[in-house]
Amino acid sequence: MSLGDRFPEIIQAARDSDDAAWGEIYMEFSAALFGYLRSRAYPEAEDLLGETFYQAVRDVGRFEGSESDFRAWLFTIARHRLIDQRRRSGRRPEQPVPVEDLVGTADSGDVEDEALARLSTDHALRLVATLSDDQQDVVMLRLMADLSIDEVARVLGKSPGAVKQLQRRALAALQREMSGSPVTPEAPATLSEET
Amino acid sequence: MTELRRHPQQMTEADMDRLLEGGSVQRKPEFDQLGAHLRSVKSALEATPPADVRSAHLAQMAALLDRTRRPEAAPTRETLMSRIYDRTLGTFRRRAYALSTAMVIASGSMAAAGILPDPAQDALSDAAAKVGFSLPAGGEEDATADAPSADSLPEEASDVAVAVLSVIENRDDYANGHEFGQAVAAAAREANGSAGAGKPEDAGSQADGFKPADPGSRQGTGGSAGAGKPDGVGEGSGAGDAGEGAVPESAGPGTGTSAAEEGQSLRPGD
Repeated sequence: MSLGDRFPEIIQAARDSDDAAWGEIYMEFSAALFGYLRSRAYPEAEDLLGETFYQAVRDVGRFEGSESDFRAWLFTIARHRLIDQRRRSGRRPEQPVPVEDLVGTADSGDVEDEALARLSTDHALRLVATLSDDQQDVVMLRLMADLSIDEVARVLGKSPGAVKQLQRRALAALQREMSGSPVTPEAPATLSEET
Repeated sequence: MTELRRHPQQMTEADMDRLLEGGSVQRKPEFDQLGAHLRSVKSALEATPPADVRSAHLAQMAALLDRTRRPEAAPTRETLMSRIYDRTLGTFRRRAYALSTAMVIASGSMAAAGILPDPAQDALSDAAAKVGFSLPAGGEEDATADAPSADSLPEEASDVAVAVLSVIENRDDYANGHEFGQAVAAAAREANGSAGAGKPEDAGSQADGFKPADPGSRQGTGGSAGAGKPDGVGEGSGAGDAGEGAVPESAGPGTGTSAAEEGQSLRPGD
């Protein structure tokens, strides 16, 4: 999942309004962006993805940096579109993606295995949905976008220390939930705090 | 502490990185389930959009790219020249208008005084006659010959009129029109000052021209202060009596009226 050495050439072509370059960029980054947007705003994810790429095409002239910077830039745009959408609708999505709409779950041909995989995925998504908004952002940006702590911090406009803390608490909460104890989004993360 | 006892092995930052990158934490099997959950979340959510959505997005981007490739029509040479012409001519027109206005006023004043050279005086006199004004012609020796003398004025004539006519009668004493004009103004000012001692030099007296304004009588009338003045022209004396109604609607607190200083409302109903 990387353009690698070809990135400078592709981004230059993109700046020159080259259709093919943008097609390549879309195919490279749309899956991760779509995954992030589906986890954060399931019903509107498709529209938000379109808006994200539209803005990227419009503003690419202002972008400077490496491929990982570009990835972070795209996710920053996506998150801003997400925030705008929430402001417009005046609500935040609470429900996870319906499991029947998920792709990528086990497609083994074995009905029983598939059903178990779907249940497992459904459970995992529901667990993530119990996290606070900021914690979900950190987990999903790290998981779906493969961004580093520093890059996530830039996307969210927070300090790396704050992002580390959110990540620690989020994973601790998920771990507690899987251990059977009830989880609340704001539960203190005693698991990972090095005291 | 309870949590730490339940999970004696702490999750380090390196462990978290591995879990979030889709790996597993070695020698810490208690985190295996969490790692598996995170992987399933990623694989479930990460997917290219459906074909129809993808097509719509790409079409939208292509349309924008198409517009980007076709920049707005660059201004033609004619358009650019027109803009430059408008800009420079606009400035020139303003300056020319100001200059011609100044020249008209100056030559009009000089013509009225009859001190222009004969040909110019004749030309202006003819032009003024066509529009109903009377200016002395160039050949006239004394432009003020028809003016009444100071001695011939009736007794009820004001001091200002007498003083000004005295200066006009002696206009030959002045080297040029400028000095003459200054002398007329000074005579009027002095006569007016002696007639209305203590009166502030306000707009009202200037508007009255040579008619002697009698501020003393105005002040004495009290309630009628401000009568005949244009709305909104403030006057120091009598403002307290003039009251709220005399303050224009646009005048806010802090306009310096005594009403404001006294804490009164400047607007009815405030």
